[in-house]
Amino acid sequence: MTVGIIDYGVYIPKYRITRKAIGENWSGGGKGEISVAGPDEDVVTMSVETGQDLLKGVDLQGVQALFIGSASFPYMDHSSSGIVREALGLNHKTELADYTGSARASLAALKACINGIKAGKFDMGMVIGSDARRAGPGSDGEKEFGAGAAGLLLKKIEEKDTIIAEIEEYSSYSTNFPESWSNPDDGYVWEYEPRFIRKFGFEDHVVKAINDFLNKRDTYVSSYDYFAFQGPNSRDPVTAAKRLGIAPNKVCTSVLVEAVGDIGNASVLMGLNYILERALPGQRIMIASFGSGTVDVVSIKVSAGVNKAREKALTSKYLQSKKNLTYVQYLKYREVLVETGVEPSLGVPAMSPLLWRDSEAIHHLEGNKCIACGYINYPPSQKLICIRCGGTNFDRVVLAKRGILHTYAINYYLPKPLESPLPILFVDLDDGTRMRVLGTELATDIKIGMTIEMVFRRIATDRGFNLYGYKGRGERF
Amino acid sequence: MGWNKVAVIGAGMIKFGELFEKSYEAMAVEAYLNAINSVDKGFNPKEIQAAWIGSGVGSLFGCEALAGASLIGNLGLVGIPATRVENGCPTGSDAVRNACMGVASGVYDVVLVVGCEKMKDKPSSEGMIGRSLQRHPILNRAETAISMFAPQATRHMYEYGTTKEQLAMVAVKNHHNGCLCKYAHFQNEITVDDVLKSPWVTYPLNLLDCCPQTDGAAAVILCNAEMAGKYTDKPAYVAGFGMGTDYQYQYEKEDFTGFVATTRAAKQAYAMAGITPLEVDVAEVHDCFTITEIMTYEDLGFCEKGDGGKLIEGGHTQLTGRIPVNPSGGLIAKGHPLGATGVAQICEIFWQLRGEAGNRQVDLKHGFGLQHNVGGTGIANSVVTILTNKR
Repeated sequence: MTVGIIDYGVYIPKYRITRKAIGENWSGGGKGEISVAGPDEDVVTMSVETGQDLLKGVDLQGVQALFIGSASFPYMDHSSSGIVREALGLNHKTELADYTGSARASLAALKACINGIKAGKFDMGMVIGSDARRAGPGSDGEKEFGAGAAGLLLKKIEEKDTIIAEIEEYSSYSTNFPESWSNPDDGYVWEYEPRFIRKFGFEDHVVKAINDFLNKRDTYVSSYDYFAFQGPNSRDPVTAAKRLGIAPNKVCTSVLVEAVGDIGNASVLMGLNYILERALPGQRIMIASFGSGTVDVVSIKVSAGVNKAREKALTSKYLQSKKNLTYVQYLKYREVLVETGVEPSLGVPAMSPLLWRDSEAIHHLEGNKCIACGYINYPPSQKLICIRCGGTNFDRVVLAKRGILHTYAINYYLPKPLESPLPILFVDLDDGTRMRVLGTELATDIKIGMTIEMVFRRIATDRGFNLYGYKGRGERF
Repeated sequence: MGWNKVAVIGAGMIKFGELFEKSYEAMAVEAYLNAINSVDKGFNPKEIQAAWIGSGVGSLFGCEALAGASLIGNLGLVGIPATRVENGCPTGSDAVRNACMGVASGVYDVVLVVGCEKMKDKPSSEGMIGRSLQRHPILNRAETAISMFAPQATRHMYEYGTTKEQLAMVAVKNHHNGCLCKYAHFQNEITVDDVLKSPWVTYPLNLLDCCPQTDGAAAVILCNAEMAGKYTDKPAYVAGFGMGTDYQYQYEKEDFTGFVATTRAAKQAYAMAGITPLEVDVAEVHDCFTITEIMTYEDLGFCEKGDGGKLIEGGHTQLTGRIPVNPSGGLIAKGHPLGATGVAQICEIFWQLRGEAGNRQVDLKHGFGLQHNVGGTGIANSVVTILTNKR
């Protein structure tokens, strides 16, 4: 029984801030940038973007498991994978799980998916790692925690399959190590003395776990062409590699950390994807996570289908597509700096039955296409008679996620919590449906006729409950 | 000839504005008394057999279960049938339309319509702007009134080359007219430059492209046309009316450069009155934003589709123009207390047709005046009423 990687997905938010721009307000600085989740982004929305990339051209009915690993799920008690499943339009029987607890939860999810396939429980499963952790103002973490998501589509391999890579083996090593923690009270991640963490935490654990993995299999680091380690910072993976006798250019981690920061549960999977965009068939990749004293080591062999990853080059595209923030914007987007004043409540609460009735329309953009005239009525919960022709027979369809801007306005005067200026877009989707969406990641350079992409975002938060749906943005790349 | 089954015999309103000192009820009473006292040959309130009360957004301002009965007692008319009408921006005019049908049906001979709105008891962020968080949390998210009209302005400018300056000319004209109307919220002249330099509210509209938030009330007394002579020698007859609708959500609209609800309402009203747009001497139209007035010129047939900008630029809708529009100052200068707006427009047309509009009086060539509202969710409701001084 072989488990193969048949596709991958990545998402990096558009926003970045330089470590210098943060550090100059406190002390220190450092090289490079971190990626910042937009004010309407979180682990759920980033997981959906990753999943949408991952599932292009895939028969959704074949996906039988969705496991997400994160240390910054939007909820303590409410399933994020449940929201992501709905947004991706996966089967209701899909096996779901949210893995959490530390930055290695996504590799726990990966192992569970591998095991599920090997045990014959399902043939195809999806694993996503994502994080957007927050650290307090002035802390080291403030300059390190980035945001992003990365995922893999795994499948039981038949002889005819062309796969990107094959999962070989994995192992784990664990101690109870206190490198970081957060609790629900303030939502910030706290870290203890960095030199202690570096010496006895990351380095020691990764080195021990990898040596243990190699010794048991009577193999050597020289058997591997690429390494993707957990990236809590750009230095620790390099020193660990040195201790293991690995040439620094074989470890991709620091490149990503300098570009997007410590993206937690997305770190190792994004590193793997970054390598897959460069690797050649037959080469071998070792990935190793680290979180709360646990290291997972996974060995992967690149297959002939890796060209698909090279052509897709998604990680590289996301790394290049960016917009820099000021420190104040960063604080606002991370909800550290919060506007005062009365916030009018939603007329219909986010957890209302109204939204439950519209769940598939809102999360998966499903409409009622009139069989008689072809007009797509939206949302289906309200449209039992075609508004154009009066027909009453419909096909349930998923709306296109791209279109052309028909018209727009930019609202400069809205009450909290709506952020101004706020573009309001009327988009003619590629399937002919006209939709009204709020704009995101758009400046004021909006033009009728421009291409708009429909993206999954957090629309509102009400009593701690999030309302997700679609917004429109310009073409990302 | 027109329909002319119902006559307007009295009309009254109060000065619109930020009336912090006046209660909802006090505004309604004042407008009501002004209407009663305006009846030329005297009027006994006991003759009123039924009332329609227009209140557009009571639920946004703490009057959640506002019913007709909540006002009628304050008018001293407790006991008679009283119905509240809430129908978006045409609330007041739709109350008049329903009252007309009540009289024309023969059930009532004399009825009262009061339109009243208290909009300033809440701050903007919780009132009209607070709409942005009401209704469907996704489909209507951030949907303030201007968020519906501004995208249509963008498209009209794109398709027909309508300019920001032409939009501004609407505000300049209506502010000028407002200076001649003692009931207007604003009594100041402005320039095109003032409009263009005022802050953005929602691109492509600036602050002075918008009507203000206003408290106000207006009332009219209607009777069976056959009885009008008992009350006045100068009634205005209801020559025709119409109401048109469009789709619920704005994204369902097929055309963003006009309001099909208006064209539908106007078609009915013109047919009922037996006139063409060319026979309208004066119009009070729904200029909630400057673009709305320009599109309405086209929707009502005052000019060709796409020529609305040229119509204002050519001065044709000024008091002395070919078709004077909004002599009262319109919503932009007079104010837009939703439920009162349509009723106040009827008041203005009544006065114009009687030749009582003073220094804002227009020339009467055909004897027809038109009232128009459009709005509500999706800008999907419109009422057009045509009055005439000719029996």
